[in-house]
Amino acid sequence: MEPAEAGNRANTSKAASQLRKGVLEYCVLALLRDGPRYAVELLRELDAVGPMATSQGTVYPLLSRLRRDELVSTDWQESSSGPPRRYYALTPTGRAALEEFAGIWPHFRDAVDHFVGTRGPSPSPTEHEEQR
Amino acid sequence: MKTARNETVEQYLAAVEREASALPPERRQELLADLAEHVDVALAERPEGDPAAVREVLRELGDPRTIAATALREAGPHPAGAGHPTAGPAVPPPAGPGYAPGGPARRGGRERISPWCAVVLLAVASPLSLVAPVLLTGVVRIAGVVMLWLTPSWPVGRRWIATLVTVLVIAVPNTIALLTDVSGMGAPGIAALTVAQFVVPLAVSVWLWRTARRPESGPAA
Repeated sequence: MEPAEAGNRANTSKAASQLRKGVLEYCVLALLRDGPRYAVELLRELDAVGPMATSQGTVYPLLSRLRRDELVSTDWQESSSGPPRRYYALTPTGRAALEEFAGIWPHFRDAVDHFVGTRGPSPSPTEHEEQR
Repeated sequence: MKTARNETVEQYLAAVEREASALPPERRQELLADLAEHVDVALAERPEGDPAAVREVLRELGDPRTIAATALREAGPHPAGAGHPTAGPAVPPPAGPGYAPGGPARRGGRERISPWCAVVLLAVASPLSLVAPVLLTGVVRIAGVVMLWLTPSWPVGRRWIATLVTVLVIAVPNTIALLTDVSGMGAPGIAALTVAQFVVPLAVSVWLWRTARRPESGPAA
């Protein structure tokens, strides 16, 4: 399952990539909500969820910006295996940004559902329901 | 084994560095450090002695071009323009060197200043004097001369000529006005002076524009 998915990643649609661009940073912030993680760990989590999977290298410029904007702080920690890991943690600013997004998102999602209609192809739903 | 791993990784990082050449140097180094760190950590977490590990890790990181493009988008306040260093010279900016995206200007310095700036400033100064205060016109004119000397598009001799003409265009009519009774000159005299004040700078600008050496592949001369 994973190799096949990885193969499709390169040519994911434009819409998916546009959407990802908008929400990826909040997904990263959300992954840090319960505690610090290091980058490879973050990327693994993102990869595990289809639509957020992206070429991993593209997440580093995003992490760099989050550091610069002080939405996250970083801290090196020794590891039992291999090199030290750089752990990312939410700053208060980062947490506030995440909460703000979390507040907006449901309305946003509902609005898109409203316009795009994600209930699948149902020819005239209102008429059928009113007959009953 | 260690050296083989390093070589492939080095090649990959070198490719990223090349593709990200338009990034500010410190951003570029940061990106490379992040990626190198990622490779080290990701490899440490793979089963030891896996011959395909390096290739796999680099494949997951993705195409250096995609990473560089993302980094450029994240870095600049002008996401659209900064993303493609080759697009810069193809589209001549409306005015001046300040418009050039950060990367190229930083590398080339003055070499990249477009002749547009001096030409436009010198050309608009006189028409501007009709509607703007004298002080502003003066500032524009001086800025034009300064840009003329900062732009490497003309030989020194030509810059002297343009500077001299610009100064004379101001100095001559004002001197005449000071020394003689302007009302005595009659309408034709005043008209000639006025026309000269507009036509001469414009002619100089056109001449400069046509003889400028463009930085890189500028618009056709």
